[in-house]
This record gives sequence, structure tokens and C-alpha cells, in this order.
Amino acid sequence: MKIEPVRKLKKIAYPVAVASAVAVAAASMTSCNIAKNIIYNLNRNPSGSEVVIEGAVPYSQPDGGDVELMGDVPYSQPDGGDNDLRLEGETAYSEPDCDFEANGSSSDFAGVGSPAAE
Amino acid sequence: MNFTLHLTDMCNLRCEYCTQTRNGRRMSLDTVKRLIDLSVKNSLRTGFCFYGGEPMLEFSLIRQIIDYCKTLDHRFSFKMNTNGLLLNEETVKYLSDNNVGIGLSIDGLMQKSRKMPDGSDSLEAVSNAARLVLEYQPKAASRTVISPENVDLFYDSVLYLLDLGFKTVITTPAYGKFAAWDDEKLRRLRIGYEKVSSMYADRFGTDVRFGFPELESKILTHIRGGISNVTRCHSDLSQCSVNPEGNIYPCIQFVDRDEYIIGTAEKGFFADRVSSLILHKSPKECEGCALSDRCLNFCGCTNLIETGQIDRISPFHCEHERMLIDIADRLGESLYSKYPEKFIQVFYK
Ligand code: SF4
Repeated sequence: MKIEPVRKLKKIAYPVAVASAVAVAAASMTSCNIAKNIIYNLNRNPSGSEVVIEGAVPYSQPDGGDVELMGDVPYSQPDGGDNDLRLEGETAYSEPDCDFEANGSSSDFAGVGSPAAE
Repeated sequence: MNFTLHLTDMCNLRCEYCTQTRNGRRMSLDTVKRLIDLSVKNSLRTGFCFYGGEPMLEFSLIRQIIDYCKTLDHRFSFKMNTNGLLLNEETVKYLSDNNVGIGLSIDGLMQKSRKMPDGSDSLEAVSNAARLVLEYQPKAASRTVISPENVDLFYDSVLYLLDLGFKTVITTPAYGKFAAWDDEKLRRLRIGYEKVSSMYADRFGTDVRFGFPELESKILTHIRGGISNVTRCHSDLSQCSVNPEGNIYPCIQFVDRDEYIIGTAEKGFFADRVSSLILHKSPKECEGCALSDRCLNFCGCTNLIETGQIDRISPFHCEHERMLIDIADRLGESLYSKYPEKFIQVFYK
């Protein structure tokens, strides 16, 4: 067994999704990106300003409902922020009856829920 | 905010690959109340995952938590990871009535690594629990660990779990010091994935199609242009783990390692600790790898148990990721050529 970076990608014969900007924004609302989005936005805003990220989470909610993320994230701001982090909305991994239940990293069951099982 | 509550470090199984130490520590209701205070101040909803050890050993605490949550004007959601041995009709009904999603740890024929404390087999008992859970929660998925010792039973175990009634089988290889993977075992693991992949393809266009996130998630990383659009790592603090004493960690494998405490139920989050963890980078060894966007190389949890460092990948983890991506891509290609409409409907929504 070895660590072996792959230098060249094979050609893959199933397509990459072509999505509109809105769809991309929505798709990126998985939790992995939540923190990055917030950090990115906060770093572009004056410290302490409120950030609201809104969008539909297309595959995570049975009804395609909205998710809204807002707040000041203390650890992402140069001045340490004010410890007020609010993530609002319903995402798949927090809903027990949702098909896209969170599975986390591979050490505690990787990946996403199953699209095929829906 | 979402918390994985390590309600106890005790367990009623003795799994060969388990790294948990059992010292009889238990979480108190007061600790959970403090977490709720913390969450209520910071968010409009709180998600709890009841975890252990074996969380059903603390069923009365779970009931107290749920009862307490019901008295508050705040939204809660609950789920649980259990080995199922203490589930019965009454408890499953209670959990289902209270919207606690049950994730059942069951390894199918590989369950022989998971002995009862007296050394006896646990498969029959946990299979009965699975039937019960599926009766009340038909979409429940199995959580299945593949250990190197049992790798030859992997495919038959997936079949067994599907026959039991699971529609989704979530697998992970065993990681860490008790998982002695070598080239030969890895070769057999590949055979297992290849067989599951071909069964997946056979069933994809039928009524008995099933979910297998280990491969599906890799197909999605291609379709969506990277892993961050598909999955997540708990080190992003979307699901912090809390040990019985109320110390908060980024994720499960960090629990009880003092250097990774990012807060406490009493004092809240420590901003400086949080920032150093959340911004950790992909491993240096991966520089220039064309699969980097599709690989779980950044998973601090797996890296920690494999190499002792959150940003160092292990040879096994790297080989496993390359193997999954390769098999998933061939699966994706075959599904796309045979069932283009269905493939798009399932994977591109
Ligand atoms: S395949 Fe291996 S080298 Fe490439 S990113 Fe993943 S772990 Fe790193």
C-alpha cells in the first residue's frame, strides 16, 4: 500500500452537471461549504457585520425547502467576532426522517445519503 | 447546532475493531441542558445524535432529554447510532414516535467480529433488532464496518442486509490500530466493492435498487465537481461531539483528546481552538494529485486514527480512496450508458 498522487485524470464518460449560478449556489449549501461560505463572506465584510446566506437545498429536503444561514462567526473574523453564530434552516443531516441523513466522514460512515434509495 | 452526545463510554458488545475505552463514564442531564442553553443562544434549532459507547444503555437519560426538550420553545431533532441489542418493540416505538432516526450498526455476516461480552455471536439478536427498526423506520440504513479479517464476507453481508430489508447499506472500512490492512486484504476489498458495484448496476433499473453511498458519493463528486459539494467533514463543526463530561470536540474520533477540545458545555466554544482546526489543510503528500477534489484526504477524523495527525494521510486511506473513485467511475459510466434518463434523474437532481 502506498500514497500515490494521481498525475493524470482518466476521461470519465458520464457528464459533469451543468448548472445555473443559482443551482450551483444551492448545491453548494451542503454543510461542508457552510463554514467556508460564511468565512469567505465574513472576511469580505466589515467585522461584526451580519451575513445571511439563503438558498434552497435541492437534494436534502423532501420539499426542497429553504435554508438560511446567518450570523457572526467568531473564529473567522480577524477581531474574534462576537460569538454569535446562527445557522438556520433545515438541512438533510439534521432531519431524522430525511433520505439524505448525514453520514459524516468515512471514519464514522462516509459520504452522503443514498440518491438511489429515495 | 448539532451535537453528537457520547452519553456513555460503556458498551454491551465487544467488537474486535473498536478503539473505545470503557470506564463507566456517563453524561448528566445537566450537561445536556447546558448544551441546549448554548445552542438556543446561537441557533434556532438543535440536533442531537445519541451516541456512545452504546447509547441505549442510557435510555432513561434519552427519555429525560427528550422530555426536557419538549418543554422548550425551540426546535429539536434527534437521531441515534445503536448496536440494537437493547431495542425492543416499546423502545423502538417510543423513539419513532419522538422522531428519533435510528442508525443501526450491523455488519451482516461480518458481525462475527462483534461478540457479546460472553463471547457468543450477536448476529441473530441484531438482525431481530433490524427487522423491528425497519418496521417502524423503513428508510433506516445499516451502518456496516468492513474489517480486514472479514473482508471476504463483505459482498455476502451486503446481500444479507438487503435481504433483511435495508434499502441503503452504508459501509466503511475499519480504520485505526486494530485494522491490519495489507495489500492482499485490500485486493479482496476491491473484489467486494466490484461485486457490490455490479449488483448495484444490475438492480439500478429495477424495483429492488438500493443505496450504496460509498460509491454513489464518489459518482457525485465527479458530477458536482468536487467533494465539497457532496459530502462534508465534521471538522467543519457542523456536528460537534461532546464527551460525557461536556467537553466539545470537532468530531467523533477527536473525543477525549485534550488537544482537540474546542469548547465546553459550560463555557461555550473557544474561538482560537476552533479556527485552528477548521482551517486545517489537505495533506502535503497529496499535492498535485488529480483526485484531490474527490478524495476524503482532508478528513481529520480518519487521518487522526490512521496516522495520529489530522493532516497526514495513511497509505491505506489513499489506496482506498483511489479504489473507490475508480470503481465508482466505471459504475457511473455503465449506468449512464445503459440508463441515461434514470441516471440523470437519480444523480443530477
Ligand atoms: S488519492 Fe491519495 S494522493 Fe490523491 S488526494 Fe487522495 S489521498 Fe491524496
